[in-house]
Amino acid sequence: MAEIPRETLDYPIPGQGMTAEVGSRPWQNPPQYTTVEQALEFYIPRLVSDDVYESLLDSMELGIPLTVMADSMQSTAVMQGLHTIDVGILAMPVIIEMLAYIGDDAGIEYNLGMDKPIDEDKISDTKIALAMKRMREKLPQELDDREEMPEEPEAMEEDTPQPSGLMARRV
Amino acid sequence: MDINPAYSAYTNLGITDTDMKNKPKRGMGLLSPMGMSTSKEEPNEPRDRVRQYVARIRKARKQVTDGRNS
Repeated sequence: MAEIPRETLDYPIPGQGMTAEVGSRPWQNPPQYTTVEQALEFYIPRLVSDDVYESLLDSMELGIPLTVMADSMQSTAVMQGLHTIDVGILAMPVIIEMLAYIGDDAGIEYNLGMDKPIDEDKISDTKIALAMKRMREKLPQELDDREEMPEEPEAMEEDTPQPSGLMARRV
Repeated sequence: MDINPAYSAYTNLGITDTDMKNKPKRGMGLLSPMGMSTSKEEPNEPRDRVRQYVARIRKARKQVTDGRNS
């Protein structure tokens, strides 16, 4: 007999995340570092510290994009209440650049995470398809007429016999 | 579309090569047009400061890679 899956009651109740007392979460308290400079003074010594440095290089060698690493670092710090999201977003480019510097200094080929640069000169396939669709909607009758137009019989001219007499006009 | 915020933050800084170059020194003469009038204030907006920091690190990074390649 097939086992009927029992409905679990372990899920959180909707809205449960908002039931904690205000101020009990780290991000609900005033941040520890309020400016970009303070946040960077926290990050940069950590990036070059012995315990983090090696694991950073390992992650770079594994091909983890630097943008992903920087994003996870700042997200964790926000969750710990070290700084706000705004400060984290501002600090991220400096963290990425610093990670790139560490990678260059160590001679490691890393992935910056900028593999898909936005090429303004290149028109995407979806835009072309959309433009074609709009064109078809605007000019349906004209396109239909073109499709329905019969081709001119070219073969007929070839089949007509050429006059072969001495006085016949040559075309 | 899911875009990494770090990617957006990095690309939206819009650092150009001119940001990384050293600015030409101002004329020191009395008749120098740039001598007294220009302000010596550092950029005060956080985004401008971040742009400056990134440009400095990038310049140092370039020196590291150039030194290795040569």
